[in-house]
Amino acid sequence: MNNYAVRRLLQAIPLLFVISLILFFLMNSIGDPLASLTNMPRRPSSEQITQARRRLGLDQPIYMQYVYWLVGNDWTTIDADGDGDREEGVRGQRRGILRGDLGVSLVTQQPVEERIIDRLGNTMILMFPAFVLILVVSFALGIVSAVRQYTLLDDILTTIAFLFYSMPIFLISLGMILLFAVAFRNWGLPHLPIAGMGRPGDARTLGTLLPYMIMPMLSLALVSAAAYMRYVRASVLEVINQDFVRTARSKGISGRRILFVHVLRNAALPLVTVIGLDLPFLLGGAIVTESVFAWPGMGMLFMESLDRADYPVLMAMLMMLAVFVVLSQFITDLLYSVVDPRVRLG
Amino acid sequence: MDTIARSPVKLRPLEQELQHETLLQRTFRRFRAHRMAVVGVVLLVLITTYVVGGSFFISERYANDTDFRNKWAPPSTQHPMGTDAVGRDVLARTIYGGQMTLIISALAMFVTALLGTVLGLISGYYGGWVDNIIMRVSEALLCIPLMFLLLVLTKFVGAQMSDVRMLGREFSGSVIVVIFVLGFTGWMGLTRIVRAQVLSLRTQEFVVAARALGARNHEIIFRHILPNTLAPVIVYTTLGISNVILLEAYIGFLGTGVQPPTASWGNMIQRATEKIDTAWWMWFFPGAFILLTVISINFIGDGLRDALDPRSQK
Repeated sequence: MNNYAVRRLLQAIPLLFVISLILFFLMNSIGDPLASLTNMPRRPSSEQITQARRRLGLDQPIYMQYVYWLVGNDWTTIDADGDGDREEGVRGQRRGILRGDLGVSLVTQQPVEERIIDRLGNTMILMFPAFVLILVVSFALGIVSAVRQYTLLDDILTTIAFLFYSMPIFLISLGMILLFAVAFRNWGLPHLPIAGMGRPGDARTLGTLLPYMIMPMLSLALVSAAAYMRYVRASVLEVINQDFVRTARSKGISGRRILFVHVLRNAALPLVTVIGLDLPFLLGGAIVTESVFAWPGMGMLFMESLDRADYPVLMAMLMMLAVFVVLSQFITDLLYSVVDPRVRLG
Repeated sequence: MDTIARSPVKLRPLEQELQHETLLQRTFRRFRAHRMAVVGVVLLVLITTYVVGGSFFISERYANDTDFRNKWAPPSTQHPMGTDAVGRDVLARTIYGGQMTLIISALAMFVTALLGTVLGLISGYYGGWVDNIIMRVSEALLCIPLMFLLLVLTKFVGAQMSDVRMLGREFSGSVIVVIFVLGFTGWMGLTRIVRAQVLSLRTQEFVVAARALGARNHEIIFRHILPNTLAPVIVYTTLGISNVILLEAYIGFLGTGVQPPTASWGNMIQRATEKIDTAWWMWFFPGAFILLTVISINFIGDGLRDALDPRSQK
């Protein structure tokens, strides 16, 4: 067990290395990070741009840029004033991602950590309640639907789930805006705000934030909840038809007790795995949701950085995601073996 | 919970048992019995008819024609679905955008199916270092949530593409980019499925027998193993198309997909958020087409899965 954990963690290292290599080489061709400078009102001369490029180390060959990104450049001399040759005795400032330095944004010159941390918080504000909602809704409706299989209720629930499962996220978002923001306003009812996280200047409390959260949170939750409801229904049905449930029933145990003790315990296991592994991928949906509702989270930051080819920010975000995915796989595996005694990791 | 009492084993009548039915016939019979799958087929045929038939009445030039005096116009007799942010007719664009979306998703899925199956066959059959490399790369790619990967890749390749002329029509080069990016990022799941199938098939008697009779590797792979892996490939590919349609819509919506003036259902919605409280027709019509298409393909996929399920006794 301990051996397994150690081995899994060691395997993650080359994996993350390969990912970083693939991503870095992609990043370096998505565009010119200095292109936004040329659109400024006081347009810098081409010499100034070349200087800036040298100062930022963008004139270096790509493998050297990767090395600097990975382990930093404080072990070598750099071209600090951008005149084309390296200064004697002037060493780089970067420490590299392996030593916890995510670099500096090429656009705003802020450290990448600063850029990400605010936005990460904003995304988590949406994600956490959305995730709780997904679990509650999908389990409740999935169980009801399975227990009442082939009744009218089951038909209605599975149809609705199928509809939401096939729906593009922006359709749900825009539909909700049309109803809860636009139509409610026209009818003189209390309505929800369309975009952002609150009026500028207002203190941010749960009370002021909540109206802004409802629609983005729901559109994140509904698509996934529909997908998981289908899973829950299928896996509860599978367990219900097994022998040990029949045995429990013949022993005279009440239906409710069978459902919650025997069926759910067995049905929940594969579900927890599926949901645990999917967690990082919810963030993909967050890109679309955040840009519909102009929610200043990670998805918006990603799109802004992509537009300006701000690759230190993009790299940091993607590597964080990859680490998150690897970790959640690892934790799910371990948890699974702890919860289910039949699983042996070797 | 009355399902518990019902016996799962059902014997078929003798005459049916004796009647020989090919795999294709059986699959077709079961598929037809799946009511929702038939609804899906009908719906998809209707959508395809609309998208293809419409181009006989409305020209693509009209669909891409901008009219700045008439932008954001609500539905009227002249523009039944309104006009968009630069005054293009939404009805005409749902027709040409639909062609684009359907072609893109079909071709992208074709690339995925080909790549996924071939890599899975190689990986499972030969094993060793080839298998190792393919599996490690697929693991690495699976660690980056697909939306992020797609956005980076479309941006990465999209910048350098010029317009393409094909079949007498002019396309934005981004169409090709989107097809290949979507095609090259979806193979991992399929490769793993096929590989697992091959691993279990490889040791079965009929493969061992074929090898004993002197069959060469490529004969064993393509004549004996491949046909036995086709069922999951077909199901995965069908359900994958609906996923690809959604992904194309998302990247189109976010602006890195198919570039205007070439329409796709996804990029038609791109500017809808600018006038979110008035111009509902901008997103409603393309959104509804996407939803209907995805639903119909999901129905068909479900039907195929049930029809091809070897454990089913029906």
